[in-house]
Amino acid sequence: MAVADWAAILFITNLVCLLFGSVTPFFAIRRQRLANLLAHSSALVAGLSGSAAAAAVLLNKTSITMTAWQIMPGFVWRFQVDALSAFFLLVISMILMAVAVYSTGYVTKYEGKKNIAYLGGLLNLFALSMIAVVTVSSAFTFLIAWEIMSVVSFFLVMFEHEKSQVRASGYIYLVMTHIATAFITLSFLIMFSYTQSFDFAVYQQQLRSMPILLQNGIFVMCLIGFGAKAGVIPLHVWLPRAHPVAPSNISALMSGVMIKTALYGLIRIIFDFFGGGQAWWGTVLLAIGLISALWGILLAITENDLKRFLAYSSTENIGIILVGIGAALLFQAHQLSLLAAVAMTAALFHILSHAWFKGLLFMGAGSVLYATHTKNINELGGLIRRMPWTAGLFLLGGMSLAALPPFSGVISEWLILQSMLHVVFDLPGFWFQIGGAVAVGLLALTGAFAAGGVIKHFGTSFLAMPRTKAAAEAVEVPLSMRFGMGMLALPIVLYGLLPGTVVTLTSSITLEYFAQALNGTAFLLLPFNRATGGESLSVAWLVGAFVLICAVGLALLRWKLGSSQVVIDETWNCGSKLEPSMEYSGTSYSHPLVMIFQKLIGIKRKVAVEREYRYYPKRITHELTVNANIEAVLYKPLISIMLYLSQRMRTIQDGNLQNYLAYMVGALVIALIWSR
Amino acid sequence: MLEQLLWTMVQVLLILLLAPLVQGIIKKTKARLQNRIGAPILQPYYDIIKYLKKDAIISNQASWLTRAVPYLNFGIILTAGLLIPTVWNKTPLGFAGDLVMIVYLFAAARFLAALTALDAGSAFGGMGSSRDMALSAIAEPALFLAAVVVLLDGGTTKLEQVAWLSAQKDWSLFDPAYGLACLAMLIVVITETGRIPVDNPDTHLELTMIHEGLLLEYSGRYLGLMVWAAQIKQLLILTLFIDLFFPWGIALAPGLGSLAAASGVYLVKLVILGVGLAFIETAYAKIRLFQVPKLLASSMVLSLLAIMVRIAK
Repeated sequence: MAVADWAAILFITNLVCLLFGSVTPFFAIRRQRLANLLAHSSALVAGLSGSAAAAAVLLNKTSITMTAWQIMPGFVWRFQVDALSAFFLLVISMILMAVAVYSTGYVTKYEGKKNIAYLGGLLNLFALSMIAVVTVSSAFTFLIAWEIMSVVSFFLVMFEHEKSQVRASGYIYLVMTHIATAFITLSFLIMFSYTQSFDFAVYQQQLRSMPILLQNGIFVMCLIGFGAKAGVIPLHVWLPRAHPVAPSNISALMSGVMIKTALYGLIRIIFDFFGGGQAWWGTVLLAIGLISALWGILLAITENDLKRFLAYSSTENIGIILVGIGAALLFQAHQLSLLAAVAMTAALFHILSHAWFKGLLFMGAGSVLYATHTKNINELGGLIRRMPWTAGLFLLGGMSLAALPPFSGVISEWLILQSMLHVVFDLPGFWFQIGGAVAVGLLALTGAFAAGGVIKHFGTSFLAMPRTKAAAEAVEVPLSMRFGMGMLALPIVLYGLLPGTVVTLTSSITLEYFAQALNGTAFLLLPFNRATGGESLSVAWLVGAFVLICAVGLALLRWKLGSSQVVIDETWNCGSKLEPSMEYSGTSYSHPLVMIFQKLIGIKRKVAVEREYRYYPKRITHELTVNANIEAVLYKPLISIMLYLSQRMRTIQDGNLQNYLAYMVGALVIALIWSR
Repeated sequence: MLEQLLWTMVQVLLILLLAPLVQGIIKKTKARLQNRIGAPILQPYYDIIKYLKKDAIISNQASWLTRAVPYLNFGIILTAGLLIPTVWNKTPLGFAGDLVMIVYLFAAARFLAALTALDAGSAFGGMGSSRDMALSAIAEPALFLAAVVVLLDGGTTKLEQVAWLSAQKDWSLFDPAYGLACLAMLIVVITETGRIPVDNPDTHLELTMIHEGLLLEYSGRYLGLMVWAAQIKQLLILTLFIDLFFPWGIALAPGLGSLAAASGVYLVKLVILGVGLAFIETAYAKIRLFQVPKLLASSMVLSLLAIMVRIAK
């Protein structure tokens, strides 16, 4: 059999497993253990076969096409896995694998309280809908899959619906996700009205000759629709609310994978349908990406909730990916196809890398939640001794998030920075060059902030003394959860050292869109394909040198000065006993940055002094709240306008049956005249 | 291959041995400027040797991070040293990284140090860590922006190429763009090396300390390694400054004669820079923590101006 056939079989296995996993748990509602096993083992097999299918398609540069069923004459549900789809299939399947293993342990948290069959079944359905979104080949089926994905994820966010905070967050998610769907539907309708077809293949051929005005209209609508789903500022409001309240295995999928489906949509429409589109699209994407990245990480660093921090950081990372996509568009518009390929590779690599580390970090946060029942870092501390595995894996993910060598995050950030620097070096035009320089600065700023955020959250929750009883009594999470996290830690380390292998995977995509494939031997990444000159990167060599230096240095120290004697004693605290309340808290850690950027993020401070004696206050309470300015400026007026309009609209709803009948007759008459 | 290996060892030794000397020169100059006699120039060497011999006390709250980080930190910074041209414009690991990677390596070292400062649970460590991260977060873009001006000429971030190109040119400091960028970079150098007016390297006072706060819980061999690493980083930042703005005299071809001459020039440049830093440190008072971002912002504005001048030319 040819490789394409094997890939097709693996892909079918993947779909069938997910279908099996989404139905069977509901037959085992009475036996929760069995439901857990059924749901998550089928998800694991689905993830394995999906990754294998995607890798086969990407490495052999083939594609899978198959017709699932005829919905009605003219509407066919067809799966088509080309390079771009396969790449996203790989992202989804890899994370699904790890999450499936992790979930077998994590859902035991709900034993006896909630229905595990429901959670496990929906998890499979959620994964199935995401895979459908990235592999279907017509606008009609895309929208169905998209809507299923939105609704299923809404149910998953609402899993703990007895808490009022969860209900509020779920409601905001529902509203935002439907605004997104509305705009996407609208843009597909415009495409339909121009081509008279729902088929993606027709779009690829015909949309390039579309009038510029319509193209621009579609771009703006896609930007709003997909931007809202991806959590791009200012449409990010649902993201820091919905991700933290969902069960942690689900938030790993939502934040690591689901928001990427929006990027799939953007890339599909811009590069596949429009072949790159207009030059200003790139500028817009770049600008929006930069704003998202900077603002996202600023808000992230002020958070004291572990999962909210991660959610805001997703906004930042989506921004970084958009910067890559925008740069690719700009370079393509200026016929610099090699640089466009570099920028696109950077964006794709970051999509994969962000999925790995964000999945890992959300699972890590879930483990903390599992062990201590809190995700407020100011109530944690000292977990590194009680949960050494979770701590180590979380630190690894955090270092990848902060783009520190030798982990995978650094490769994509390096590529993105390189493409930004080449905006300065190679793009003609004064403003492009200055803008590129500003972009370089802002990207460096977000990278450094990300590092600060990770230190704050890791340091406060895992280091020093436990601040509460819950943190002091925490125990390490079950083996399955540790193993699930480890499954994502592995690629983070491996592909930080071997970036060339991932670049080989994405090269079939850049080959298709820019006719350029990047050069990457396993250890050495040469992004510009030039034999002489140009930059190269090899983290593996750096690590080798580092290890050598450390080994020789340690040996020399031992040999010359003997081993170091260590005495363990209490931390010096100026003579008094050190209490957990004296530790630097998360709020105080980020205080300098909050003060420096207070104009941007907006803070409210309240200091209340309770006096008993004149110069010796009994109690001082200090309250610092960060109120995201965007929401106040943008959403409050919108909501009040909506409320005002609906108040006005209510006058026609007076409860009188005759009036309603009159409306209907009127509507009918207008419709008849219209269609005549 | 053999040449490469030999050169790597020379570079490592050069960095290891020069770093305390530069520190000594700065300290001695500063003392003389303040009418003190000051410790001998070689004092930093004696300090480090003494620290390395001593036993360490570490906190009972501390985890494995506290024990591992001094070694990791030292190793990472020395690895970064293999990417920066010192005497010869070829660097041992030039193919494996560029300016961006150097910044990332410094960031990794700082990340680990700042994380470990929280490990003992003392409020001082947290304070130093939080301040260090806040300021270095803003110093990082300033460094990139100042470097972009120089990088524009070659269109590459590869330091070997950049140093080679700039060394071919005449005194391009008189180019206004380079002058502005040089000034901007000087501010970054002061921030990154933790000197007055940004940070006071000589005190452990709550009000003034930034970098020293990270080292408070360390003693013995661990402290020795941390202090030495900080001195190496200072040397590397100064070398980076030299490579970008005054690379003249750097050896462009291997050979004992040219390398020896280049070493002499390099040493002279380091001494001049060290004395300059000491002058700045004596002439200014330390500014408030929340004034530092303004200083760095002005560095960024200078760099942007420099880039505009450079492009418009």
